[in-house]
Amino acid sequence: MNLFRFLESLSRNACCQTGVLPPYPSRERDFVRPPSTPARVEDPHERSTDDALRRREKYVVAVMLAGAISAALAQSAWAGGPTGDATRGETLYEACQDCHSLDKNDVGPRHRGVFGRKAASLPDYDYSDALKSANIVWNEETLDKWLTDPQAVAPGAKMFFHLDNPQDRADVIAYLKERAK
Amino acid sequence: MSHDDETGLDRRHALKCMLWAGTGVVWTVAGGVPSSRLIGSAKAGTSGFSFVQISDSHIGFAKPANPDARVTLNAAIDKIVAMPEKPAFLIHTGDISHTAKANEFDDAQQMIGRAKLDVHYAPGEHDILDPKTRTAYLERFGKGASGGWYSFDQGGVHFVSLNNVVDLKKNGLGSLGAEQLEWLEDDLKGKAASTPIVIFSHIPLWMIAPEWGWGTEDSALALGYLSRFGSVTVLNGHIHQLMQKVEGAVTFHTARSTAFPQPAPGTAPAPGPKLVPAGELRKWLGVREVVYSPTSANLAVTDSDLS
Repeated sequence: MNLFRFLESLSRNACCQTGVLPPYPSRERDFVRPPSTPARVEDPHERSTDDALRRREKYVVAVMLAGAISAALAQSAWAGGPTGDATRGETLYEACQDCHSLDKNDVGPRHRGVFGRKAASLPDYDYSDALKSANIVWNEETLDKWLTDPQAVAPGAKMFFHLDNPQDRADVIAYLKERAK
Repeated sequence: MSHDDETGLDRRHALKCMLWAGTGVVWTVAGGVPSSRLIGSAKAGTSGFSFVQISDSHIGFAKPANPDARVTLNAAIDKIVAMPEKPAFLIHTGDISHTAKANEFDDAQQMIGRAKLDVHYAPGEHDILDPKTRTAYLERFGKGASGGWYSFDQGGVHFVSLNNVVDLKKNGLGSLGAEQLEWLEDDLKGKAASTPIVIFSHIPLWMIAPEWGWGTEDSALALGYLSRFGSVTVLNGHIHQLMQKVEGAVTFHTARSTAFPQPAPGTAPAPGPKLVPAGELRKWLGVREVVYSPTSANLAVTDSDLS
C-alpha cells in the first residue's frame, strides 16, 4: 500500500466517524478542505456529558487528521504538492548528470524535450524492455513516481537513482519542464 | 556514520586531513600487511613490493563537474610515471569509461599504458551497461575469465578481482551472485590462513550507504569465506571519496576518482557528480599533493552505523 492509498482510507474512516468531512471526496483536494459548516455546532457551555465529550473528542481527532492529511499530501502528492523551483532543480540536476545529459544520450537517454514525451520513444537510445512496455507519458505525476522509485514504476528498468524528498523531485521536474524544452 | 560524524565536526576534521589528491594510492606490502600512502609522498618501504590503485576515471565524461576526464587521468598517470620506485603493477577499480564505448576504453588504455605497468581491472557499472558491453568488456579486460572475476599471486600475496556490477539490486546495490561466490570459496580453499589477501572490486563490499546503493548486497557471504585469514584488505571505488573501515582482520578502503568528486552520504539529496567551485577541481582530484600519514586520526571516517 502506498502512502496515498493509506491516507485515502484513513481519511474515509475519519469522515464516516465524524460526519465532518464528505464521506468520499470526489477530488484529492477535498481531503484537505476544512469543513465550512460542521455537521453539529457545539455550545461551549454545553453540559459535559459523556456524549458531548465523545463528540468533542471526535471533532478534535477529525480536525487533527485533516491537518495531518493536508500536510502529508503537501509532502507526497504530485498534484497540489510542492511547487517546483526550476533554478534549484537545475542545481539538483547536477547529480543526474552521472547518467544523463540534455542533448546527448549517455548511460541514460537525453533529456531535452522529455516533459510530455512518451517514455522509451527516442529512436537512438537502447531502452530496457521494462520501460518500453511501461506505456508512460512523462508529466508531473509520472515523473514524480519515476523519480521516487523507478524500479517500482518499471521493474527491470536501467535506472536506480531516486530522490526521496518531494520538493527535490518537484524542483527537478520543474527544471525539465521549463528549461529542458 | 556515528552521530559525531553526522554533526560534522569529526567528518570535517577527517576530510580536511584526507585532502589527498585522488590521483592514485601506492600500496606497499611488507610483512604480509599492505599499507597505503599517496603517490609522491614518503618513500615506500624497502622490503616487499608496492602497487598502485586508481579508480573511476570515467573517460568520456565531459560535463560541468569535470569538462574533460582525460586531462585528470593523464595527471594521475604523470604522478605514477614520476614515482621514484617503480610499482609492481597497477589496479583499476572500475568505471574506466563513462558510457562503455570502445573509443573511451581505447583512450583510457592509451593513457594508462604510459605507466608501462601490468594493469588488473575490475569492472564498474559504467563499463558494463548491458549484455553487449559486458561481452566487450570481458574480451578486453577479463583476462580470459568468463564472468569478469579472477585471482593472481604476487610476492606471497593473493589478489582477487571481483565483479559486483552486473546484477544490481535495490537502489543500485552491487551483487556478486551465486556463481561468483562459489568460485571465490573454491579459489580460497587450500590457501593458508596466514596468506595476505587483497580483494578488489568496484562497488564497496561494505554497506556505506545502502539508500544510495553504496554497498554490495551479498558481500557478507564473501567476507565469510575470508574470515579465517589473518590479513584481508578490500579495495573499492565507486563512491569517489576516501573512506576506511576496520573490522577484525579485514580493512576496507574506498578510493577517490580521477574524474569528479561525489558528496559524502547524508550531505546531498542523491549521489552523483559534485560541482566544486571553479579552480578547485584539481584540489579534489590530484594536483595538490598532501602527505598521507598512516595514523587512525588521519585516515578517513570510520563509518560504523551505516555499514
